[in-house]
Formats: sequence, structure tokens, C-alpha cells
Amino acid sequence: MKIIELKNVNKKFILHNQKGIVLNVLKNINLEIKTGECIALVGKSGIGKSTFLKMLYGNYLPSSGEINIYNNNKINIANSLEHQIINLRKYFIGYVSQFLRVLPRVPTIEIVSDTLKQQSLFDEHSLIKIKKLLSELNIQESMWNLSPLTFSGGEQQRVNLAKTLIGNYSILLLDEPTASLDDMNKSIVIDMIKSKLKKNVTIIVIVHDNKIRNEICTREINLEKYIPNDN
Amino acid sequence: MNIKKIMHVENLTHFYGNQIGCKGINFDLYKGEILGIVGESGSGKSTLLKCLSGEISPSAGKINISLDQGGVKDFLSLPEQEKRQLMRSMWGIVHQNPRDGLNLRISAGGNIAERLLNVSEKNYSFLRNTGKYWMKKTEMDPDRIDEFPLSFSGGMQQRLQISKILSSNPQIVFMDEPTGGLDVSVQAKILDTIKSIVRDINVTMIIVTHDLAVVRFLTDKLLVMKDGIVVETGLTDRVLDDPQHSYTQLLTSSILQV
Repeated sequence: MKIIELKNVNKKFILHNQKGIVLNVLKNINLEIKTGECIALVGKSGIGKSTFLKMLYGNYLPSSGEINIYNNNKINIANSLEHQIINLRKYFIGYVSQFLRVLPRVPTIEIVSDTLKQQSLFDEHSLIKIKKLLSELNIQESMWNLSPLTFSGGEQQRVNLAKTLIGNYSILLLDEPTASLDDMNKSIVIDMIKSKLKKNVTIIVIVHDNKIRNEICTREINLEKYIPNDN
Repeated sequence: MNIKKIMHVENLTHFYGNQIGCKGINFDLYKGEILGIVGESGSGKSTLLKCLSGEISPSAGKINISLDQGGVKDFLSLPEQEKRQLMRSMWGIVHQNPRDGLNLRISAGGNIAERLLNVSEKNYSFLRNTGKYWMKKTEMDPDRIDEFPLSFSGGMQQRLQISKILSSNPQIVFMDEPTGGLDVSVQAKILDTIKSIVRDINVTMIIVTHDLAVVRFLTDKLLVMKDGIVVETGLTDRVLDDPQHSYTQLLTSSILQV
């Protein structure tokens, strides 16, 4: 069953304050992604992998085309009311960016709890579940009540992952989820991604490590074929 | 999923003499949404907020409101008395300077109770408990309920003002630069407090600010204003991360990195 569909999607950036330069990034994307697939986005650096992921999340606006997400009904994320997209993000699509972005002074454990609260899944068992997840990701107990903004890059990335992986999403968009992790933490995160796949979650991931890609992904989408000719 | 539209604004325009305040504003607001209005000073954002909250009567345009009771109403043609009553009970306005929104001659508890009295709640212990409950919710010490607002710090006064407004369960809250006059060290905590309360009580809110960090953390959607008109609108993070209009691009690229 298809869960994501892109129809004639084009993306360009117009830099009005830099002499109106037009950057054509991606052109004529037509593709479908089925429930439970784990897609690796590939292509050289700067080709538009993060742009692609951000368009799926509604964070970037396609210049033309449709991006349809199949929930119970079809929602074109490129042309929907804001509250419809917000609702989709609350319950259906999770996104892990490359860098953690949170309010200062909010403790790690609250940041992770917040996802469950938003999904109305927070109950008396939640804290145990959150603590277990943080421990599995090797975030020490002494850090749970601190803001992650002072943590190391790898620790911040794991908090960022915890914040999304704790939730119950049908689609996960992961932008280099293992980039700043050591080998031990990498394999922990890979196992977590695998267990999401077992639950039939659809995953689209940017990952440069061939070995990881072969281990988890069911298909590759190479963005080279969507480079506009006029660049 | 069907979310109720509670405000529909059409071609809202206000002139100060020949001078444009705001012009041709259109948007819809749905229940539980938080709308941010951003722009530099003089862009018309405060004029727009004042038109929406009933503080000034716009020169032209339409505001339809649909509250929990009473169906859809044409706000601008309501009789003055009905407008006042609506603003007192169902609107909440959080001012930039908390002293504009607080009664300085009565205690913290009295300030919170004042609005509840307006909606004819008269039970003393209920009022007092509500006061304490809201002080706790906005992370104030409920034991200070009998103290006067001037004995509180600026950040505490702002928390008190927010308690006062939210305790009466308003259907739309208007905030004008809610963290404007505050130290950066208290700004983040106030934002976090507002955010968690908003999630708990599903309030609908319109926030005017020039601070893009505030809108990123608090709002769902954004109107970007320049010279009295809206130049761009959309999902907040979309507007900030992938701005389409030249002015929005200028605004987002002008943020200083600390």
C-alpha cells in the first residue's frame, strides 16, 4: 500500500537579496513509497537529499507538484492548511534533523516526554519507558535532568533520536541519524531502526555509510536523476 | 479530523488619516491554533492586533467569529455592549508591559480572581484555590498570593498577567510581545511555561512579536508583515526555513548568531 507519493515535484530556491539568483535543485520527481519500506536517499553532497526530506515534512515548499501522504485520507503536504500539517506531524510523521533544536533550560527528560504528551500517550508507565530508552542510548542518568544544549554532539544526536523514536509514528524521516556516533552507539541506533521496521514503520533515511545502508534499507532512491539539466 | 474555524478575517484595513496602518489582511484561525504576526516596528502588526482584539475599529473589512456558544457572528457590527462583554469574558489580552494588564492596587490573587468575577464566579474559596492553582501552573510560589504585583520581579509580573488571563478560560488570547521587556534568562522559561499550558488547555492564540525565536517555539503559523500588508504566510517553520518573499528572506538572514 502506498503511503507517500510525489507527483511532478520541482524545487528551486530564488535568492531575492542576492541578485535574484535561481538555484534549480530537484526536477520532475515522480515516485511512490510503500508502507514498511526503508528507503535510503543517495547522491553526492549538496544534491538535495536534506531538501527532499524537508519537503516530505512540509518544512520546505516544493516550487510545484504534489506530495501526497496517505493517512486515512490523502493529504497533499505541499498544499494543505497549517493545522492539517501540524496534526500529521503530531501523530503520523516524525523527523529527526541533523541538529537538535530545543528551548534552553528544558531538561532532557521533559523534551522526550513532550513527544508522548503531544501524542496523548503519556501515562504512568511512560517515565519508565523514557528512562529505558535514554539508558539504551547511553545517556547517563545524571544527565536526564539537564538541558541537552550543553551536551556533546553525539549525545545531542542521541537525545534528538530519543525525542522522535519514543513516539508512535507511521513514517520516520531521518537525516544522518548516525553521523556523529561512535561504533557502539551506531549499532544501538541501527537496532532501534530495525525494530521500528518490524512494526511496519516506513523509514526514509539519509546515511552515507554503505554498510549501514545495506543492513537496514530495502531500496535506494538516487537523486542524481532528478538534477535539472540547466544547472 | 474536523477542526472548527473560530475566526475569519477578510480584507481588514485600517488607516490613520492618510497613513496606512494595515491593509487587505486575510486569514483564518482554527481552534487550538497559535498564530504569530511578525514584522519590524511600523509594519502594522500592532495595529492589526488592536483591530482583531477590538481595541480599535478598523476602517474596512470583516471579522467573523465563531465561539463555543452563539454560532458565527460579525464581530465588527456587534453592539458596543456585546463587544465589551465578549472582550471581558472570552478574549484575553496579554500586554507587553505586565503593569498595563495588572491591577497594581490589588493582590496577586485578586488579580487572578478579577476576571473570574466578571464571568460571575463568586465563591471565595473557589476563587482563592483557582488563584493558587494558576500561580503554581505558571511556576510562581502560591504562598505569595496575597502580595501585591509591585513586589514581584518583571518576569513574575508577566507570569501573573498570564495566570490572570488564562484562568478565566478565554477562547482567544492575544499577546503583544509577551517576552519583550524580560531578561533573556527568564524569556526561555516563560516561553516554556506558555507552551506547556497551551498544550494542556488547547487555547487559541495570536502573538505579535518581532522576535523570530519566540515565534519558532510558540506558533503554528505565521503572518509576515511589511508596510501594512502581509507579504508571506504559512506554517511557521516553513516560513522561517524556506522563506519565499524577499522581505522574509531578509528578515531570516538578519538574525545574529550568538
